[in-house]
Amino acid sequence: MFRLRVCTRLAAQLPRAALVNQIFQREIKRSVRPVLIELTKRKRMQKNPISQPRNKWIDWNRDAELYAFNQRLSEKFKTDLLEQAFTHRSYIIQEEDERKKVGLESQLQLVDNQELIDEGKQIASLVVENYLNEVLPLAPRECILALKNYLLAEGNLAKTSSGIGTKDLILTAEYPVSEETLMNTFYALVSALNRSVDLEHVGKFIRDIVISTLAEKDLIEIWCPEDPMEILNDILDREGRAYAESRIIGQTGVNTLIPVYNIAVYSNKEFLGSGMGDSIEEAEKMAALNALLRMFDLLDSSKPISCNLPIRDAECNSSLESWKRSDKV
Amino acid sequence: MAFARCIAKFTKNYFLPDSSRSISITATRNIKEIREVKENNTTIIEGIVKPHPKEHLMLKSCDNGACPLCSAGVNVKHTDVLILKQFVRSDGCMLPRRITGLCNIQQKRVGIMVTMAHRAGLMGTLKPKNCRMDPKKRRDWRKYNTYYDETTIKQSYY
Amino acid sequence: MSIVRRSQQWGTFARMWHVFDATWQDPYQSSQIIAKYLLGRHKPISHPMNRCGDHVVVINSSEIALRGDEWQMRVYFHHDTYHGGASWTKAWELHKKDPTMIMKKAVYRALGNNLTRHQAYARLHVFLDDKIPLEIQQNLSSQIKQLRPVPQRLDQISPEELENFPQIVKLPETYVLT
Repeated sequence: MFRLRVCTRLAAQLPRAALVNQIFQREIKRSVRPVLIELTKRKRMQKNPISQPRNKWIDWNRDAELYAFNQRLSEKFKTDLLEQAFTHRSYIIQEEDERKKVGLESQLQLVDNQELIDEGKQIASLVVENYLNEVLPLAPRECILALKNYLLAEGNLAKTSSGIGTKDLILTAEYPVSEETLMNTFYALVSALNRSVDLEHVGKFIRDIVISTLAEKDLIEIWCPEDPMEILNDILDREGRAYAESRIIGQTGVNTLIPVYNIAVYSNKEFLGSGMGDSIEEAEKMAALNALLRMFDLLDSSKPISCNLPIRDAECNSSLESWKRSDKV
Repeated sequence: MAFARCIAKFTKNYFLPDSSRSISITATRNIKEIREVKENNTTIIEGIVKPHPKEHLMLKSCDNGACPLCSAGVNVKHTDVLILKQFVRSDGCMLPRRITGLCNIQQKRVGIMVTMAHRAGLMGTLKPKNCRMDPKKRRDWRKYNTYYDETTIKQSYY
Repeated sequence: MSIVRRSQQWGTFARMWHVFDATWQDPYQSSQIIAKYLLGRHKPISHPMNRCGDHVVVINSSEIALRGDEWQMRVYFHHDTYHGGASWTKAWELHKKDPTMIMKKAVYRALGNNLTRHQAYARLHVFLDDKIPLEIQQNLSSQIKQLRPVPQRLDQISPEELENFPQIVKLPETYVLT
């Protein structure tokens, strides 16, 4: 009787129990592994792997991709300008040649982006320099120019450009797309955005996509003054202060293979900076460099470059020959 | 010996009854000072108890009934020879409790710490005569530095 | 890596040279501190996978102090592997033989039993007095604080200090110390 009661209860709870005890198996099917192994083997056996640009594939929908490009970046590119920005001159020439071969005489309705590229180069250069002057007001002009050259270098811009997804959208004769083409496409996009919206919006676009990459970089790796002691003495002389005097403030393991010297520079008993090194000359150089970076506000411990300032025209920073602390502070 | 002392006493009292006593046999204590004051025709000669030579260095006494060391509130170690020195005689012996005025526990603690200081060779000047002052001149292990742990003293308040 | 980062790295991973004065110090307690410095455990960059130990120069090891009756009671065991070759040496006898030995053995034990022990022990330099070679003296850059203050003997204290020390005990008026 008892067993029967238990059975009835279980039967009543069966639907619920089945739900609770259900096991979801999320394993990979046994058939997948041999297939993947076979595919990889065949891929390796291929002598000359045929690679095709993504836009030659049959499932490529260019209009949808262009729309997605716009949406992804949350920008308001005009569609015809966007189309023009992606179309390079080499592509038009190639297309016309092919048409001639086939025998078609009608002209293509495409416009190349050469004009946009030239315009974009000027805009980008202007925006980057202005913004760097704004965020690094104490840095000398040489530093600003070095950072600008680094940001607008071919490799860096090509990386940025392919990062926002232009690589498959570009219409060009060459394949794979060269770095120069990627860079030019970015310039063309900048110009297209300028024509679609306005210059301020382009500034924000460049700030968010190009300049913000500086945040993770070591700025001294990009720009480092040569012979810092001489520069420091020049600056002190210009400010009417005593010449830098370096003193050993710490040293250890002098007679070993790994000596460490800690040297500080003082001007009229006022501390300017300190540095470490494996020899006295090296440490002295590092101390002078540290003092300079303190003045220019480029230390590791100083405030990081802010990426949310408004874009506006800033006056040029003074160069090393005329740099003076009293100007800015 | 006792007989000899008896004779000496007898001789001193009966054969040399010098009233001025300018020469004393025992050491002068200098506890009292004799002062002579002349006022008109009267001359007053009185013995005044001299103040203690280190009266100005004495710590302020608290009237809370605690012993001097407890009320001073110092954590004495066996290396504090300048404090321990105040509780011993010139030969390094501990003074009795009725003289030091310490409480039971402190008296015992100080006694043990004086022993420690002696063993560590820190109170070489306070020794019986013909003792070695320098602990380095002791024999065997005794010449090496030894320190003691005050927490091993059983007598303590906490 | 920029030269600034390189210089920072060089300073961070510097091998420091510390000096420790063992006068009146307990070798077994101070060896814990010395081992910490030898293994680099006192640094914020310390990590088991990171070799950042420092050098420690111990001076005046002949002036160490043992607690209570340890000079007599502490025994060092040695066995020369032959039958009946066990020997027990008292601490004071070992100290008489070699005044640096007790300090060295204490640190060796405090370093712990793993593969870092040998390298760390090689960074220990023990001298029985304060005469150390100039070559090592020039390397020194820092000092490890002593665990116990060095006690002052009564005969080494100046008469002025003896005279002017505060008095705790007030002896009875009629009681004069001889």
